[in-house]
Amino acid sequence: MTKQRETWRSHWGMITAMMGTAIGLGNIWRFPYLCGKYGGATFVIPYIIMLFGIAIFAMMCEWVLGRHTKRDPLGAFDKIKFPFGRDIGAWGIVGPFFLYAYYIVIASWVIFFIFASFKGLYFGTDTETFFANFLGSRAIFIVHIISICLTSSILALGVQKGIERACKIMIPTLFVLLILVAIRSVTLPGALEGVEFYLRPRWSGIFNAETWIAALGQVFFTLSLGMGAMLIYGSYLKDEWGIPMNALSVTLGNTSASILAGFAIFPAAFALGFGDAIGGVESIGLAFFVLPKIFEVMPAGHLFGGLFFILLAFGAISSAISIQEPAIAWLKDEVGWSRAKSSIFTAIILWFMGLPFIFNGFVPGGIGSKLALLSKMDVIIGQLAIPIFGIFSIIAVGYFMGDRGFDEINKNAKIKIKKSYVKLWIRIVVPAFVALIFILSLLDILQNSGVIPPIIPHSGEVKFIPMGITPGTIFMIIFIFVLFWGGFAYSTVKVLTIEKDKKRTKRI
Amino acid sequence: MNLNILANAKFGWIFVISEIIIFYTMFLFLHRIVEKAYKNRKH
Repeated sequence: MTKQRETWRSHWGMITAMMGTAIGLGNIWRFPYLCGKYGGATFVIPYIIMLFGIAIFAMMCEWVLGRHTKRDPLGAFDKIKFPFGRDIGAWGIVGPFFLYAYYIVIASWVIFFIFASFKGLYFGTDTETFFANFLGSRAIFIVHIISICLTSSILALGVQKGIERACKIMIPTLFVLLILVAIRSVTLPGALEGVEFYLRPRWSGIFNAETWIAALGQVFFTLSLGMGAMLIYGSYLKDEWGIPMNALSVTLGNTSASILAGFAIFPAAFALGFGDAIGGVESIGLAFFVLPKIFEVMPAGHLFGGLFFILLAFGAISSAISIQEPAIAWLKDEVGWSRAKSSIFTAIILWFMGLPFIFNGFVPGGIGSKLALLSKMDVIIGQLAIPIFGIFSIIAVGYFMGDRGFDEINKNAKIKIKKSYVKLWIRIVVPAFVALIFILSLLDILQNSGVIPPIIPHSGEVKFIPMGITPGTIFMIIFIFVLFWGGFAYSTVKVLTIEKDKKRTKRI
Repeated sequence: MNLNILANAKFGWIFVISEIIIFYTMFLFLHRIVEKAYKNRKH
């Protein structure tokens, strides 16, 4: 007897879950940095082109592969008879497993920083030393277990009652908190300079190849592509939902969060005198050294620091559940275990796999040596393995599913994409660009480790001359908000009304 | 226990790469067993 496969219960639940996968730490701690570095609001132009030209198609490929086969990544590749399908599909389970192992360690730091902010633990200390001491403390073991238990218990409850319900709470709350922190940040005296730094159009950036490379990498990684997460979430999509409009809604929602994050970070940094410090930092350095410094001096910093880390934790947890899910789906689909049993089993293995990264924190020395193992794993999994699996997913749809794949994209869709255009794009353009991401990541790694001399130029320090708010910035702010927020609201309302209409017709 | 080795660059690379290879091979092996068992159960 074959059991009926789980699906998302509601359309809104599906959109929040997909956005939960896509909105992660990268949106908050990388996108604003890239905007500031590569020409302010002009960075949005290559970003939009790459997002709608490349990334959205790559995402649709993963959804198609998942929905058509209704299997876990391994089963999906096997079912469409992809050469070495099981070996490649297995990577869609093992890859995210390793990714989760270190991602959850970072998520647990974020969770610790919620308490640290509310209690003011890092207030009045050197934030870098505080973070280094935390990495070598016993608290890390506790928060690590808490984080794993949190994601595993959400997953144990199932797709509808677990993932969907959790994301329905987490994602809207994340947006509300982001808006709250952004309002606080923008209303600080002298905050406009930060907005200027973030969004003043500097057209020279658009003619720089590095800007386009950065945009391409960001759009690919921000949508959580190539890690089996979108594929497995796609397998829970209902057949009556059209893919293009939903994909549009998710990508626009994801970008809206990224843009808001910049409003939460830069204005506060410039208003409180950290403008120079914030210009050149991203990721871990930004979240755990520089931002705590800002919250220290911010009025009501305890509260806003806590709120900021809560929203960061929501982003991290909602992404973490999606990368733990492929393994659970495999245990459920192929081994026949229950969800609860699979969740506990994966949680134990993942806890064990995360331990080396935690023990690394006990090594004496600077942050660099404490994060040595984690950064190496990130190079292999986060930068190299992800584009490879992404390429395979696109090739699988483009060349091995044939017309089934192209038809699946437009199946039951109100707004369809022309088939010949989809064919050309998925067969040639998108895989070529994703291959480019892989090659550039590889070159960057070899270049940074000194194996090869520099090939990709680095533009160096960010130079910002304060000029007060300019009309160009105001125009770009309006343009970006109308485009992304307006687009997100329009597409989401549209897909939700389509579903309502369908329900009504069914009843009649 | 001396944990300093974890920060050693060479050891780090060997550790990370071998961990991935071992786990991936083990998983493939496990899948074959599961597949066989599943087929037997089906028939």
